[in-house]
Amino acid sequence: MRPFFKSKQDSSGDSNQNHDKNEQSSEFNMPETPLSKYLDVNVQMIKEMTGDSSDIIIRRLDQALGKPVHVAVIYTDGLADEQIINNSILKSLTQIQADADCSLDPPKQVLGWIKHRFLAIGQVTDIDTMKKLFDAILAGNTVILVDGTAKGISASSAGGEQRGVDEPQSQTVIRGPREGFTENLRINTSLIRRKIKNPNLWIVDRTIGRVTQTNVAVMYIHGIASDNVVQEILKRLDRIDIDSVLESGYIEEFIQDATFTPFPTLTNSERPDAIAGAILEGKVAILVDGSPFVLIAPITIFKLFQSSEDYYQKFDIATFLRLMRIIAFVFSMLLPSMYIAITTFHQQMLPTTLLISLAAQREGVPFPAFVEALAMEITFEVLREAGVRMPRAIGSAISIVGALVLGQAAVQAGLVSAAMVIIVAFTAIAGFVAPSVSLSNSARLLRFGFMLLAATLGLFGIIAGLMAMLIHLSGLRSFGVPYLIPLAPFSPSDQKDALVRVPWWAMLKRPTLISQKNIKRQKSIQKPSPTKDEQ
Amino acid sequence: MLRRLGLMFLLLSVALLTGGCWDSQELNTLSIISATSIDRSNGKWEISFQVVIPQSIATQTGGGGAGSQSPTTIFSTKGRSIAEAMQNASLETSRKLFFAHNSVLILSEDVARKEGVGEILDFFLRPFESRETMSVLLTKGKASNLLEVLIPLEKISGNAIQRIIDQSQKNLSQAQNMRLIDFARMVASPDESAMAPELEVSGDLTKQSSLDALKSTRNDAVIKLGELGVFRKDKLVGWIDQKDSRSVAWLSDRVSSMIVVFPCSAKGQENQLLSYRVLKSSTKLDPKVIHGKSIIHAKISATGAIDESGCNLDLKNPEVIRDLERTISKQIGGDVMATWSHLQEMNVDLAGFMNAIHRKDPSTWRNLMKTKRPIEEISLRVQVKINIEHTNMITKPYSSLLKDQKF
Repeated sequence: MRPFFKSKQDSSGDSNQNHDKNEQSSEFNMPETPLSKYLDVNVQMIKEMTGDSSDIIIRRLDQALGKPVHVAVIYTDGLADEQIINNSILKSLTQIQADADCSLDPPKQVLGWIKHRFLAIGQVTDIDTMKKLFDAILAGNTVILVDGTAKGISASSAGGEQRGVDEPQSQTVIRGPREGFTENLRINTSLIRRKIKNPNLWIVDRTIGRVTQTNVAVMYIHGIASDNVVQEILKRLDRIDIDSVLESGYIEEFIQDATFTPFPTLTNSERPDAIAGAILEGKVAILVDGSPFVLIAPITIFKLFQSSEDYYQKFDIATFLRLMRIIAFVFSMLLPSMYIAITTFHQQMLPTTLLISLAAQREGVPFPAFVEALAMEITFEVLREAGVRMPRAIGSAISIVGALVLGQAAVQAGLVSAAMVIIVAFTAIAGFVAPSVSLSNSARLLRFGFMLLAATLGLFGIIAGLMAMLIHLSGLRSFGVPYLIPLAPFSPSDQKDALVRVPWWAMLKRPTLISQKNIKRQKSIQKPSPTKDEQ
Repeated sequence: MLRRLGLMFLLLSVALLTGGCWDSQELNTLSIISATSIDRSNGKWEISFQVVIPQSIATQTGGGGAGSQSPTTIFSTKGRSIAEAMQNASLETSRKLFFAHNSVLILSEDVARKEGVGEILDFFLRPFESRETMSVLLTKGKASNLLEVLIPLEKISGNAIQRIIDQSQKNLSQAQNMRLIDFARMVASPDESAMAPELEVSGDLTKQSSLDALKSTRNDAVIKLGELGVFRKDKLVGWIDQKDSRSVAWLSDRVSSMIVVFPCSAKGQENQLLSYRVLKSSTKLDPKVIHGKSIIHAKISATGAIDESGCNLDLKNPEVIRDLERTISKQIGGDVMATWSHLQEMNVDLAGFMNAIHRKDPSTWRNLMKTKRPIEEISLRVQVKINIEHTNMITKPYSSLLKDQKF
């Protein structure tokens, strides 16, 4: 067994070029050996290197284009589209009779005819090494080798079964496009390209993952996105040396600014419209093959409270919903700790009747409020995790068990107070309001810290914790952009799309502190008004 | 990095665990006091607490249902000082006394007359937990008796008492809700005399202190507001009745709403009464010195409506309305002057006259303060201006419809 992580230690961190790194970690990369002149040797080599895997199809023809020439058609079953191979490659090779002037000598010429005259396929490239050959067939392309020449051609035939463009599961909207990203990188880039029909939408490709060779695409609008940010993102991507990238989360942890923070410095979205909107604001999208979650950088904390639907609905309701989300975030972070602090330290702050009602519920509850809250919160987290993992068929069971057994029965048994169940339930619901899962996760973690502070120091502890959080947030940066923009540093023009959203005709500028380039968004006087009668 | 984080975590947990939790108290370790009363017996302070029993108040409870338990319980303790009496409470209660929600403080007449309220105020203003908004009340009998009366509709009688005062202040402008902090300020003020409303039990107290009393529709005993206790320095010196307290409210500009009942001015209908509801009023005190004598001009103006008319008058006629206004003015003016002579007799300043003089003319105030009974040196001129804004939904009195009826 070869050591997987060996080369991670000896690879120097500042190797910018991808292929440098690949050379160093050559165990899992295809050798740059040139193709052999003999078809048999090549075929043998492919079989050896793939361990004669059953999905690598090698179709040999003894006669092609009506001439006695040995040809091999190689592709990966399942990755390549059989339809294309049958109709456009095999049909051309077997059924077309080449003219008499097509000589067989040298055999290199045969490749030229195939490529230039007979192959009915859009994208055809030359290959001359084993590495290129494998890159091609593992990407779903079809490789054609001809006996007698050390070159081959690769015809694009990528296809095969994959999930179609579907409605996103994690970020649903009432008004807005219904399409969501898929696991296929090319479909994903096309979904964005379809929304921004502009040649300035640039895509920079990277391949990350020594074993998985995962394609990663960085998308931004040249001329709007800040060059520094783009360079920084590419630099950080190039620095990654890992064996596998199966989801964008891998990339996220490598390139985020701070690891020890509950707040995300990169966010992700499943929605092409959200990504397109972010790109138009000068942000950079990072797409990873195999993941429908596209990363966006740089972000600010207010971005996390925004849903793409904010921009499709009227500005007044959008503003209201944004404020509600912020309030809900605060609730989901602080409600249990506020309850603990007030009921164990500051009973005088409650109205008398509320205090008595709470005291009545706590009568006979055996645990201190903190233990009670902690137990209920943990119960809820377990329920939530179970709900996510549980097969859909028995998913309804969890709601019955959760709601009835743990909620009502616990209260009736006198283990927890009814108020605590309400607090935990509201906290949980408030946590789901956040449009970004990463944000609600940060509230989930902070909640426990605040509960501990509240149980030991009361409201003083909560305020101290909030202060510490604020200090931490003001120090946080996402790819060089301060996290609390536009509140700190304050930017008056960016207020139009932070806590509130002004009508579109008033949003004249892009967020200025993310990108200083090309910030004007639209003509300035577009406020709708009744047409004046011409006299 | 990890070491630094570990160190921070260690420091934080040490800081939290050593300093934390020291004054935390769970809700079910508190006995929430809703009312306190102070009496004197055998030369000792006797404090009684009305403690709320939460289980019997909230309808839904965690452990055990709400039974036929009394909503509150009362216990009394004695001591040489108030604090000692309070301390002795822990001999008989299982929970910590929690004063932050105490809403009324009832003093017996005995305490207020003989001991004065100085020590009591000191004790209640000192702790951080105590609420300065609690209402101060007086009672003529034993103060702790009032805590025992169950009030229908209300579970916690301490809160109910406070609401009774609020109600009567708002609707009758008679008893003023005397918050502890205002009371303390008035007691300490050199220009003002303090006052506090009296609370009394009418009816059979012993029956109304059992939960069985709430099972009948008519109550055996009720708590109600009575007269107004008047203080000089920190001691109770006398009582003024409800009519006088209303006049004091007029003079001190505290009338928010009030019904003034006055007789009909039409001939042959003198026994019929009308009611005038004050909707808005203001009183301006204008102190003057004329020939070395202090005179206070009190300008009372009020706007209101006719709420009830027993006599047959043409209320559409502006002349009649003007006549009514004059009658009301005369009645209020007369009442105020009568009250003023009572106040002069008692030598108390409930309407803040000295204060007004102090502000306007400090030298006169100094001269007045040198006299023995400064209030008697002041004479009052009252000018009442009443405005009847409307007569509500009907103009003609209903009795006018009956005038010509034969059947």
